[in-house]
Amino acid sequence: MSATPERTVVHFSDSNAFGGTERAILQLVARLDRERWRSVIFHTACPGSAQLAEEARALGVAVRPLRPADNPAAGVASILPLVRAIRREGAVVFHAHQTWSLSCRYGIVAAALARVPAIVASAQLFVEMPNVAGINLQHALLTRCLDRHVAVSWHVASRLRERFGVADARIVVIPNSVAIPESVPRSAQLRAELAGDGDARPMVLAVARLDSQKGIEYLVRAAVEIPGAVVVIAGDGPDRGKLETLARSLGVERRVRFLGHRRDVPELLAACDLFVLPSLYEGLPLSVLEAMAAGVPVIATAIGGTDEVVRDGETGTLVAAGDAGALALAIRAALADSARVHRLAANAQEYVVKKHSADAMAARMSGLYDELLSA
Amino acid sequence: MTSPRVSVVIPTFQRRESVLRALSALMTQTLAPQEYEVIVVVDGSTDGSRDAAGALSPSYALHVLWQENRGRAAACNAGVAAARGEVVILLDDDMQAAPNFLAAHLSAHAHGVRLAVIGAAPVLMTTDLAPPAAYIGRKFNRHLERLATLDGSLGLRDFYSGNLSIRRDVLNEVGGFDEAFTVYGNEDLELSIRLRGAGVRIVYSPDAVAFQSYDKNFAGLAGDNVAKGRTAVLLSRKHPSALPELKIGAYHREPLVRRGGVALLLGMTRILPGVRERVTRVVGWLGDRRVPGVERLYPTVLDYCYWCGAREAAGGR
Repeated sequence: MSATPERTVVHFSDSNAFGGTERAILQLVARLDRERWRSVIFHTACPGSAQLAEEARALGVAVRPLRPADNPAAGVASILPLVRAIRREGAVVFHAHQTWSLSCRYGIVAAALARVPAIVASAQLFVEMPNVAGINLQHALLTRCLDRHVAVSWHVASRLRERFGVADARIVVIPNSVAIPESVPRSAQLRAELAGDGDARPMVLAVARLDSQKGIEYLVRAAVEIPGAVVVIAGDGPDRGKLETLARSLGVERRVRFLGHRRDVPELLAACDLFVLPSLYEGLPLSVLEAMAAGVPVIATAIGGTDEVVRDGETGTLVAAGDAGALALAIRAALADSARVHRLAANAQEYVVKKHSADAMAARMSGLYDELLSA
Repeated sequence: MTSPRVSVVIPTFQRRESVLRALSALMTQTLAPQEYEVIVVVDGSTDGSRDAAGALSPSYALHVLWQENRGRAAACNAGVAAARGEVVILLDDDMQAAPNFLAAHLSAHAHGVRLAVIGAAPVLMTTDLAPPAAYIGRKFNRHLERLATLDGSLGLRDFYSGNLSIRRDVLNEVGGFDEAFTVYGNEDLELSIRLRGAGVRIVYSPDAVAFQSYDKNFAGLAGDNVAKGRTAVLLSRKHPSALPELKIGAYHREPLVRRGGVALLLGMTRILPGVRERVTRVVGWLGDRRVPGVERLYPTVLDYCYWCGAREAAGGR
């Protein structure tokens, strides 16, 4: 294959935060064969995307910051410059990474106008919303611009089909995946920093953006009911102030710690006893996959996407979303029977290594690009 | 019939629904039903608690005792006298035990004989809680935080007996509760002074969880504080050496602003009759209307109530 010249893939993101979607982009560009594909990341220039740009550059991937298009007029005005930018890169594949059904729409339209041979959009998340402002129509138009919707879970695929009537032939499911981490030793120092020196209480970890999607409120409320544990929350977001106030008003602020955004998630995972993701909706959460890959027991909510990897009683524990009492009960039960949850965690680790490796995901994505280009 | 390993004693007064919830939470324990018994002591309730509890047929052995209203201390003693378990757990009637509650108390006693184990009693805080209940809940949950980070050295004022376990022979050896405490408060501190004197170590178990529902309004909370002030005088007369560790002996350690507020209100009370009732009513009313910041008044007003009670009990001093 070395005779084939490398071809350019433009990855497009219009999010303004660093979360699972952004890490999925990095996972992909890190693993696409460099001799075949040249990756370029188009991202919105904003403080939230700084980490994406920085880590992409560290991987030797080119990044192109774009002016934020935060209203329809700016969005429409951004289309022509985007067409020129996409042509300048000589892109043969345009890959949008969507955080909701219409995200990246100006980029997708620009790619269609630039006549990029293969245009795909990864639906990282399916946000349920009513048909206001012609969402259904806009989505139908986007679908016409796209060669394929890439769903990160079967749940997302079925919602695309049921909600927007996307034809099966236009959807491919390539589940989110994780880089299988090297095992990280449990750091007594980090534990002391997080839980307090000499504090032997079990530590429950959540890694999430602090917004309403992630349901952290229910974890903070559940903390009241698990007085024997320390709850550590890594991540930042618009709801941080509200959540900290809630912890104070419940009298648990010393036991519920907000760490802010952290880059040492593998170390945090190694230091904790239990991983919890209380989300209200998800695509296929990377944080859960990472916890599973690290062999950490997981408690998550029974929602589409998550329930494809966390199977209750097999690879983890599922509780109803939005129910602090149920979450507290599950956490207490897990901490009381660590032999059982560690058995589930071992199953989970085996499952993720086998079914959700990032190398396999990148190979499938590369195969999809080839398929679309040869059509 | 063999004796149960553990007896749960629940004193109750005028809280029928609450005590029924407490009894039903004890039905789903990880400990086998034949290993424990529950003794409810109805302290003269007139709300039908006795019949309602008697009508239950739980999986565990349930005994319902009745006495004329004689206060929590006497009710606890009556329950302990009827208990057959090696360990007794005193549990308030507004507590709902978590499934491993009994197992956790028992396993805490595996670490020694002369132990009093305080279990965690987090206040469940629903979103629509009234300000007085939210205030108490927050304060109490914070208190639990502190207990969890102390290393075995609990102070006198850390003690509470709403979720407490102790070997029955040790409790009997120190003589149980002092029945002179007929009104709310301090009967447990009084016991803890004697426990400490008898070389009983007081420890906290965050795993022996019983959830506490707090539903008093501000008038009830203020009344509790007046009663606590009164019994604090009784307590300090009985155990003068413990005075420095009690709230009544620690006035000078309170924040200056609060002391000023309390002194001002106390001064007014001396001159005008009915100040306490009015202050309580106004603050209660502000809370009912959820006036923002009303909780900032609570510490001062509740302290003031406490000192009113203390002054009355000390004979107007």
